[in-house]
Amino acid sequence: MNDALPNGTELSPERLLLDQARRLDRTRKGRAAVHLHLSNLKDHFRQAHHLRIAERAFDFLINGTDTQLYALATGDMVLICRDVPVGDIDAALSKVRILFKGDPLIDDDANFATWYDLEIQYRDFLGDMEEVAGADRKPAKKASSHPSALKAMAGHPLTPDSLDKGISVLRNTDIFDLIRHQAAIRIGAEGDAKLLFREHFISIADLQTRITPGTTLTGDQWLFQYFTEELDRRMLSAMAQRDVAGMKHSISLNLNLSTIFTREFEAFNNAVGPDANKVVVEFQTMDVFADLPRYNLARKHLQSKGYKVLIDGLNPLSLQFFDPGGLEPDFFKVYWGEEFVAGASQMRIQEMNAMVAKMGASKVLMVHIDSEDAIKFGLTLGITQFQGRFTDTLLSAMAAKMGKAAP
Amino acid sequence: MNAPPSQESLLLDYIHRLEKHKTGRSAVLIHLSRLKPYNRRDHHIRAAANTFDPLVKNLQGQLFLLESSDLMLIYKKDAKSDVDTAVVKLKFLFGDDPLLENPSKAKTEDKLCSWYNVESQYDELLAMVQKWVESQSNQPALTKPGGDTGRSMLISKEQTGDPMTPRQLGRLENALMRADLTNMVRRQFICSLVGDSIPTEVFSELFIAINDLQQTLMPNINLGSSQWLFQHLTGSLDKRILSMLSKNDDRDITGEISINLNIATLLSQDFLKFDDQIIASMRGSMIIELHWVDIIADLNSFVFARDFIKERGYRICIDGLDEHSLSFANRKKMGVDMVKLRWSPALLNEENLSIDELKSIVEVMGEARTILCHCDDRGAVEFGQAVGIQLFQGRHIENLLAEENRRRNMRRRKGFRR
Repeated sequence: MNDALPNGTELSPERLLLDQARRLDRTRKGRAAVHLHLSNLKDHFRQAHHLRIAERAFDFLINGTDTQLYALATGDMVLICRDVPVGDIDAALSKVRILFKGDPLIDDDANFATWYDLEIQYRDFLGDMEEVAGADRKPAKKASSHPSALKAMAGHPLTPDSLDKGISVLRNTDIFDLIRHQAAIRIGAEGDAKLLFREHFISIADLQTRITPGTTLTGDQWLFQYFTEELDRRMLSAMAQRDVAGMKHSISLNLNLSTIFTREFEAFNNAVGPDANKVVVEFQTMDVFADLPRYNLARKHLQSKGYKVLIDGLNPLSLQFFDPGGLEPDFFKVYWGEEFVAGASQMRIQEMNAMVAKMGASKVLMVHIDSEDAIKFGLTLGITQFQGRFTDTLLSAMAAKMGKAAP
Repeated sequence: MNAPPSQESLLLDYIHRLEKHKTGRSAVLIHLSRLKPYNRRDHHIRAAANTFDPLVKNLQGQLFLLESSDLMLIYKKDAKSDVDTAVVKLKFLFGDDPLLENPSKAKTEDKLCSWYNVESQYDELLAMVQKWVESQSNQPALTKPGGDTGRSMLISKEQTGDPMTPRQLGRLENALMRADLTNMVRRQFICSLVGDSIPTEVFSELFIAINDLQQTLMPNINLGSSQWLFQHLTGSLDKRILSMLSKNDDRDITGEISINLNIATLLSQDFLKFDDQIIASMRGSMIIELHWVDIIADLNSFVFARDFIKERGYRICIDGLDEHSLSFANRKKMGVDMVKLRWSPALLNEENLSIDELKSIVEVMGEARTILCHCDDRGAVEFGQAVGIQLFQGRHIENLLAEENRRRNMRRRKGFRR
């Protein structure tokens, strides 16, 4: 790799990989290659920092044996080794698998990694690598396969200073038109869908364009959380002025616990009046655990006035770690994405059943529902409440069938 | 909105009705309002009030929680010894408060309690309570969403400084990049402590003293006013402590050590650089403390970071658990090596967690894998030992270690003389 490098030119890993692959023709003895298709990981895992750490799984091979690793721009990795026992390569791969545990890719041997015995399969390998490395020269394709990487580059992450600016702009900006809705439904015994509530939320992407163009609001978890406290107050003021008196249908709002003890919430509460029982307040799990006594205080305070309390942000992983039953809300929002639904094993279904039983099936709201299949799957678990892109579609379809406009 | 009658007016009503039954009754006014604000947050007041629960349930007395945070108990004289016991428990509960820390020389003076004989001091009592009710009705109705939280937050603001703004955080983090923090690094030992034996050092925690940092760089600003801004600040401190440790030529920093890091830091270039720079054997003697809230905030990232650093040889301890969150955490399920429970007198309040529950949690976590931290006095250690905990950290442990060192030096010196 160190020959024929023009001075000052940094060669891409793709180029270096292709160079080596071509030169290997003469020295195939004892060589093997593994192509890890990490570009097929879910967005969540396919982030630069995850991949950087995954590279470290090969440190012991690279330092101790004749091994080269190429980390490609797509996220894929290619490993070329000489005289390394398969067991050692397996050991490195299993470290990578552990890191990405939870992603369906790692259970899928064929799609996770392709092995080549270069003494025999050199031609195949070279052909594949030419294709893989060629992808480097088609930026359009690369970009489209990397939405998360693109998003992260779209703006600077939030800093304390840009947060400060963002908040002062927010205070003077009308955000009412940025409020979006999504329906949550309950499926009755007859299979009929009824509106449970409409979640009202601010589209963060649109808000960002309006108040902090060039800065990614969600780029820093803690600063964003601080920002949402201000956003809560703006949202409540907007709602209190225009939307809540004499509501026809139930709504839900995402709020911070701290917001419940503000003047803005008090004003909202006054505006809502006896309709408080039509308002569901959604709290993030993290916010709840950050101050449990405050959560309990807020929950009791809200429930005594008729509000319903919802714990947001649960997923199969969090349910493995802790039992949220003790939080005693009215609803648990669980993100059982399609990837967990499709082809769930018998064991997984048993686990899910147990989790639903712990929370109480009537309190569970399954979200990220994109298809009828997801609803069917939820129903087999005893869940009757759903929310997602599909629920809006379903409601409008049902309303159309009944010859009425959507509620 | 129809406000419920205040406790003061209920008390006044009760005293009026007591006029014909005042024989054999006493009263005690417990001045919780004289405690430091950090000792009289809502849960403290509740814990204090709960101490009298058995008395109230047995109809031996009636308790009133006053606007000022003070408690007023009116009880039958036969219950005097039970009341005394409850008061002793209270004093233990708030033993770390300056009000009770330095008992005054005059033994008769009781700074926490004022005692009344209802029979002989009836008029005095009545006048006092009447005054309270009057001053209440003169006040405009306070908007107090969520009970007293708003009020106690205001009070604590007065005591601790103005809340930190994002702009101040930005300035502070800029200053941090240049400031020399070496003299703000503190070290505290985690020791195993069985019975009355001498504490045995197990490992030590290195941390940057936030109080000193605040005093030096941002006096009058409360760095902890927003949990989220503070959490962001700790990310900046992470970077500093990693860089200090990686070029550590301090001979003092030996043995097993622990540091607090954010999960985002573990996934950053800074940590990878640190990991490259330290010798492999050091990883095995390092414990990374992760905060419970940081873990909950992004479990996927936690699992990823956990598996990465465990594979590199580091051990992991969950920090930031208290009497409320402890029962939600499960060390084995979370795949970590240790957990830290923060001592507070509220642990004595069985409303949160009964002693039996606590014992069984400690057993599941592992007695030698559970650390009780913030042990500022002997009582904390005794409590921990009673529920099975074997590892302790805090000012009290530091004092014990210092004392032991002094003794050892004395012995050594005597040895020389001989």
